[in-house]
Amino acid sequence: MDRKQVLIVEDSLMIRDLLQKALEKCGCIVCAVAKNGKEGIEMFKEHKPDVVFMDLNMPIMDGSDAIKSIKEISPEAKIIVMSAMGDDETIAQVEAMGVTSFIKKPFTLHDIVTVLAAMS
Amino acid sequence: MNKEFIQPFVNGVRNVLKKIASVDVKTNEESFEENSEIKSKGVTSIISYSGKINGRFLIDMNSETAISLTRRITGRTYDTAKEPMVLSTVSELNNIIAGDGLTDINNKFSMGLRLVPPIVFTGDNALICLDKIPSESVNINTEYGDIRINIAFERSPEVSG
Amino acid sequence: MDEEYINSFVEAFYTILPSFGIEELKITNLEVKENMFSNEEVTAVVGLTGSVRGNIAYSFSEDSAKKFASAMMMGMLIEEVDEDARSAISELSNLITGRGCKILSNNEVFTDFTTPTFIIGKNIYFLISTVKTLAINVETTAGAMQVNIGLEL
Repeated sequence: MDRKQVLIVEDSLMIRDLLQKALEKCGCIVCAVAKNGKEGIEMFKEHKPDVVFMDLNMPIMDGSDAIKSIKEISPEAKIIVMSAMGDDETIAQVEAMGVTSFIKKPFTLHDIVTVLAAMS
Repeated sequence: MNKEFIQPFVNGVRNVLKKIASVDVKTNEESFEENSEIKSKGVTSIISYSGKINGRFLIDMNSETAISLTRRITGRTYDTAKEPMVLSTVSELNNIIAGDGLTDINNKFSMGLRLVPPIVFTGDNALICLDKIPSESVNINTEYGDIRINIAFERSPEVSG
Repeated sequence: MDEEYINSFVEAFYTILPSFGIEELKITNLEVKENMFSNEEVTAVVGLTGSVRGNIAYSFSEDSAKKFASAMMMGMLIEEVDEDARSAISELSNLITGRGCKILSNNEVFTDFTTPTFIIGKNIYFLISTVKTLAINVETTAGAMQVNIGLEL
């Protein structure tokens, strides 16, 4: 299995830690970690990851703005959005952004495996 | 307060602790009114939300419980609840639990509720003074200690859905 | 942090505090911190949603809290931070935040704010946000007020 290069964009220290562990268990390489949308865009440009795991609500620049910018840089970018909110309105907003997948927090290792498998 | 606005948060605690920490919870699920103040057990996180109405969700536990849950989740040990990962964990658990509760409430009752970033604090004998908005608490028991949650809505939410 | 945000809230202090007879405002410290934390004994926190998300925390020593509350209650002697004093401090945080948000709305930035949460205790260590925070210390005739503005901008 080719090892996917993953960029994590997430402001919570705990979630960054958990997600990194889960992705490494799935055989991914976490090439970079960003704490907000602005850093996320810079790291996307620098590392050109295979997939981005992006939190929706973040400081400095939130997920939806960062996604727009990343899509401008690379329209085929694979972005998996994470959020604590999973109501119909949030899901509709996320779908309109043209992302690859949506994971509602809390996520399990199985959820990560499932979205990565769906991408391949 | 209508129990339909309390149950989603109790379910949230159950779902989130199970999924993230593999911790089972026990509760008699009887909520009780809180009137003026809550004495913090040691580590408290508060998250506000606004939409059709405003409100607040609070989660409260002692330092040992906070440290134990964090250790369970991250696999590492911590000396005090002041450590960034412990505070981050309690804060993020609060965020996800409240998100879970609001997701359910939004879907059922179209409240359009959105979360503000959470705050978390530790302290000695800290008192959280509740504004005059109605709130109810539920006590939840885990193998790592008790957790109290408190749910507030600025007025009784009208069920439109 | 954008100057317009700083200016909106500083303008709010200068408008609201003197209306309660709290005078001689001096900004004695203005710094950007990596996280928002406070370790004063009394804090009122107001959440912001809308175009801007975040929290603003107004912190006081117990002594200053009593003096601010007293000023808000027409000079009434306040011996402890009791229910009335807490209510006064919460209201102050509400008024300043409301004023700051109104000034922002004049610049087309629309925000809503939530009911204040009031916390009192010893050795309080808050983590209010992981955003860069602007910490402003304001000295007044009623003592010092520390304002931490943590906005996701």
